[in-house]
Amino acid sequence: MEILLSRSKGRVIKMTKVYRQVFFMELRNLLTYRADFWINFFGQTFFSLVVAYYLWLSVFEYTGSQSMQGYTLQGIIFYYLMAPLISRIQQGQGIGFAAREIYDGQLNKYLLYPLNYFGYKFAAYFAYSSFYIGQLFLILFLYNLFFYDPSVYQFSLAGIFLFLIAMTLACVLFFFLFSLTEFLAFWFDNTWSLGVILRFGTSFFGGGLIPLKFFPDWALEILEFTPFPYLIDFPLKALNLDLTVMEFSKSFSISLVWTLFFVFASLKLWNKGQYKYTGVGI
Amino acid sequence: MIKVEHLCKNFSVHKKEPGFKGSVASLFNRQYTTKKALIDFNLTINEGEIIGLIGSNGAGKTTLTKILSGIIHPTSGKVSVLGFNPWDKPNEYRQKMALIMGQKAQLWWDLPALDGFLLLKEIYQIPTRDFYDRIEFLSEYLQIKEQLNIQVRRLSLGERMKVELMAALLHQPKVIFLDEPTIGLDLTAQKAVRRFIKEYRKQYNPMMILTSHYMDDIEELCERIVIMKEGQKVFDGNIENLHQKYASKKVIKLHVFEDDQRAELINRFPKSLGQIEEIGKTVQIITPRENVSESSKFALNCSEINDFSISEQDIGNIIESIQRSGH
Repeated sequence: MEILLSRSKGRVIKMTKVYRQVFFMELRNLLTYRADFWINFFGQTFFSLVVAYYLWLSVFEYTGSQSMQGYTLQGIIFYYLMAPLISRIQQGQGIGFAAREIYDGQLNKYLLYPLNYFGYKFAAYFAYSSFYIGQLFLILFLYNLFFYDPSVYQFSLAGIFLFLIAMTLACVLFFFLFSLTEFLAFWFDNTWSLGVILRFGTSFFGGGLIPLKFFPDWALEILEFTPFPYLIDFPLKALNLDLTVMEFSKSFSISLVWTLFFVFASLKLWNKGQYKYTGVGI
Repeated sequence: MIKVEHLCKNFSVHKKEPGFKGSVASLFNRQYTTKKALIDFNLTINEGEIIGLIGSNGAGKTTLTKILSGIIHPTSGKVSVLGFNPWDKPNEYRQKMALIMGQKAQLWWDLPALDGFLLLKEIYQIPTRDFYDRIEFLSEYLQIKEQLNIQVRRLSLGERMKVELMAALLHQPKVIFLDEPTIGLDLTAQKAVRRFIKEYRKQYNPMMILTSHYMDDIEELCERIVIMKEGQKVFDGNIENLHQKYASKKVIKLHVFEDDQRAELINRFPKSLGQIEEIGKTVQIITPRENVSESSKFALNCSEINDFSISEQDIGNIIESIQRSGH
């Protein structure tokens, strides 16, 4: 028993070292091209914020209302500042990585190394996600510094803590949800458009394009039992402490069940897909 | 030891009629055909042996390599490499194996090779001291030390192949699959890679399977060759066996400076002894083995010879004729 325990402990230490190395290697990768880095870091956020500001400004001016579904203009701008950042955290290094590797045969190298494919890929994905989490905190800090408005957002450690829990779970859920669709490339070679549809779907039903509060009640009741609201809406509510303990626990539990389902389904599809894999490509 | 028994691999390949009409038709009714990449293939390779896999494109060489390295599953048959079933992908096996593909980069494209090596150090659990010793040895021998800090994508093809070789050998594998390691390289780089493989083998004695279209690779590196045609083995043996079995003729080359003497030799040479032709200032005679002595005597007596050699037929031509005839 002791030997078994020390063996598995040794394996865990080895794997931790490997995935730590993958994590930092991907961070180095992210910093390689500095022009792309800076555009990515500030450009995207700035651009989406400007578009959201002028769009919603005209909506508020046209309707003459002070708030919509509980959002003031400042509130909705804050939402459109945070939602794309959360969306980017989830997308990590971008969609299509596995499908592309299956298509062009680059998957070969991961099958040759003595490591777990999911472990490797998740470490790489999480490197990007962690970087974007840092970016979110930096922008949140700057927002508090220059536009502090307690009616829109109030900084709290509890909010940050709950956000990190919800965000980590959302990342795992997103990773395995997308893995599932990408592994279809074992059968259909090219599944890029499926990835794009799913990306749009997760963004729309997750609250990335418009806040979920704008959806009709019947739609929200259905969405509650799908994985989508737990990708963007849930972490954002956690950050704002916009959830009771009961609501947080319920959202966390549903999200966890979906995550476990997608982990199981992805592993099944991965194992089956390898029988179909031909290793051909460019 | 590698043991392959009755191995078969079929691929289902999508067939499409050419043109726009064919593209539209294939959206609704897709036709598939079965391609037999390996047919009842048997092979045994002993510890420390190096074999050359030869065959034209589509003969099944790469498919065999992919099955042996565990990348793809066979349709049927048994394979054992170092006692492992490769496609079960046990980590113990993957620790002892390496695959080098000349046409596919395995290192991380946007990072310097050294960054990739550091990850491989953790993946293969190479002790730090051994790791740096091996980097030192391999980079010195391959003369690539200066390039280890440069992004892989910025290296030349030859340099990239060298760092790929380094990456594959850092963990000192017991079995190495080399799939066209010299493809696209210039002659100097080809020679450097061959010299390195030879030296590495001398030091570590791993089992090696080499796939190449370059006869120089095969002749210089392999003791045994396996010729494949359409998924089947058509020859398995060493190069001498190949000559004895398939090369019934020898080549005599005579260097004759004087034009009139070359012309006279060609005119007077009896057609019954073999085939004679002029290549620049050289006269080449291809003659059956039993006629070598008589043909040589005739040529030497007939003209003033500046240089003279007798050799086996070009191995590339023999292999080509085997592949054409299938036996």
